[in-house]
Amino acid sequence: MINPLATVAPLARSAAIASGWLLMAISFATVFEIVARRWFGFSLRGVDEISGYVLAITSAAGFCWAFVMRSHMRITLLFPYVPPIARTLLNLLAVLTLAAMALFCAWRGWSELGANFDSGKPANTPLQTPLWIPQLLWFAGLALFALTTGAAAAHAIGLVFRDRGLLDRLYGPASLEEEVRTEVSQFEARLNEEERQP
Amino acid sequence: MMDAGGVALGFLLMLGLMALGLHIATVMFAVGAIGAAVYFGMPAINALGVIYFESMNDSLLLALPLFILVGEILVRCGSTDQMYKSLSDWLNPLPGGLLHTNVASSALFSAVSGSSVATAATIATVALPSFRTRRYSTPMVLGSIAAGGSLGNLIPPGIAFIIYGVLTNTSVARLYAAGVLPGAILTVMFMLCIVVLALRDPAIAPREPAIDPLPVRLRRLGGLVAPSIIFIVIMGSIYLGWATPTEAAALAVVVSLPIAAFYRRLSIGMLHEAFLSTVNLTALSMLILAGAFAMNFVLGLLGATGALTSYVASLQLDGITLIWVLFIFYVILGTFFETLPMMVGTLPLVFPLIRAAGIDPVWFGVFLVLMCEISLISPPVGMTLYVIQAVRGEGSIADVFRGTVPFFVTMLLMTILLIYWQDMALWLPRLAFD
Repeated sequence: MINPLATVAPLARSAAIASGWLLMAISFATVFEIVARRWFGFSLRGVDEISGYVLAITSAAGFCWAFVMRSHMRITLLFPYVPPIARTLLNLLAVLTLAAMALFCAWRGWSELGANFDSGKPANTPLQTPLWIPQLLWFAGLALFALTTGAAAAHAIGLVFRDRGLLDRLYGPASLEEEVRTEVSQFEARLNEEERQP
Repeated sequence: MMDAGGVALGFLLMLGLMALGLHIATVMFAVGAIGAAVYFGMPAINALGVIYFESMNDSLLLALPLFILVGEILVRCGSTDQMYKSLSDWLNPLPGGLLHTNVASSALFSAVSGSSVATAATIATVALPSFRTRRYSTPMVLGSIAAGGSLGNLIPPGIAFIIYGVLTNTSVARLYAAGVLPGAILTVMFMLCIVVLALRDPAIAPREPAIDPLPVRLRRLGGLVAPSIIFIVIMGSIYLGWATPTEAAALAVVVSLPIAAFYRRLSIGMLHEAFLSTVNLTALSMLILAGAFAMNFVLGLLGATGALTSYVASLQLDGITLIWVLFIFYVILGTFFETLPMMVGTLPLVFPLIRAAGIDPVWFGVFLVLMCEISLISPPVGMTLYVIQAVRGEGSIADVFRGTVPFFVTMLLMTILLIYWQDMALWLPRLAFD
């Protein structure tokens, strides 16, 4: 059976990098706006509005990336004290409920988008952007998140009967050691690089 | 529609579901969605879609990814060891020696970086090798790094204030001004704590040998330039009235690029790495925030906050008693919660109480951020503590726990000081804005 996390990882990664460039672009636009307003007495009008859209798009596009990286926050204080089978079932429950939420949000997002597309309703702002334009990208992020978590939930249900160890490894919380090791190895790599090119 | 007992039951249910290891965002969103479905049916469910988009479509909150991005770029510049060396030049003569540099460099670095975990890892990596050949008390070394890292939220520009400002409609610029003095006082209190401990027991910190001549030290001040520029650009543009906090964050992103180029680290690969971390942190925060907005919306419709407020009002607590109750509540909650869920999960219920009791929302923001800092260094849950232990790579985590105790006590003292001297936080915003 295919592992949905590995399948979707390259796409999620690209979406995250694209969002990063979007953040960079809005930063430059904002600086232009500050300078224009302060010293040249004019305003681009709407940088503020687009900033909001950028955050919505970046967040939605990042949901899937954070899921692939297993970063979505959980409290696992009780995990060391429950038997392994209970832990596995809690991991299953967590991925099922996350998928349910993601699907619900994608459904609501879809009807938001549909309603605004039909009516062509503009934002109540200087730019009067038709809302469906930013919402289309926003919805794409929600849809990717919903499809990935949905596939992951189905995968996890299958794994309950076949390979509970794999279920814990894929959908359990990144263990503290793992999480810390990733953080630290990044910094060590960086440090080594610094030593090589002083 | 709901009485105070129902609200308390709901809150306990939420904590219980979180303790089961469900995702924090799922739990908050589910509380909202189920409440909407049970009490109001389809119209409220439909409204959730609008709320969900509107909660993410927020130009003020864009400051969150932008500040994270600045920190991610600065971390990759590799100027931290120069910063550390330069600070140690000036702080070593104090009793406690190099321990002061741990606090100061963590504070300086975490002030410009959005992530306290990244700060702890960076400073620990730079600092720990210097201690291998010296005879310092190990717990104190580790504790001072952890304590310094927690300062970053209080010293502007921190992201905790942005989240508080957005959730409660409080001016972020005022919150930043309010954080300056308490942040400075807490830094000084940490240093005093080290001085007192070092004087009482000289064995924990040997005297540092003679310091380098002045010209060498002055030349090394260059190590402080990068974080100082970022700090001045952000705070300067906000307080000269040129930029909003979000615009200042955008300005800092643009300014961080030539800084990275100066350290010869600017490349597409480096930027992509920074983007991936930034988007990851942003998305996990925003999923929780969007869940919290959905929950807020439904709690408002249900009149839950009103019920709780009138119940607490019927107890006739005065403001100070209420704050003490919250103080104890947050210290306990902080032992097993991280900053974000602690703030986002409690504010919808706590903030109306604060308003009803006539407590200044700006002051409460500073108080709450201080509570979050305490949660960062209180074992057993506190990511920074484990990161420091991992960088150290030897001995036991108990050394780190033991080392944070004096700083934990210092923070409790600081909180009491803040409660009885509220002008500490309110004086500067009044001076700057009124």
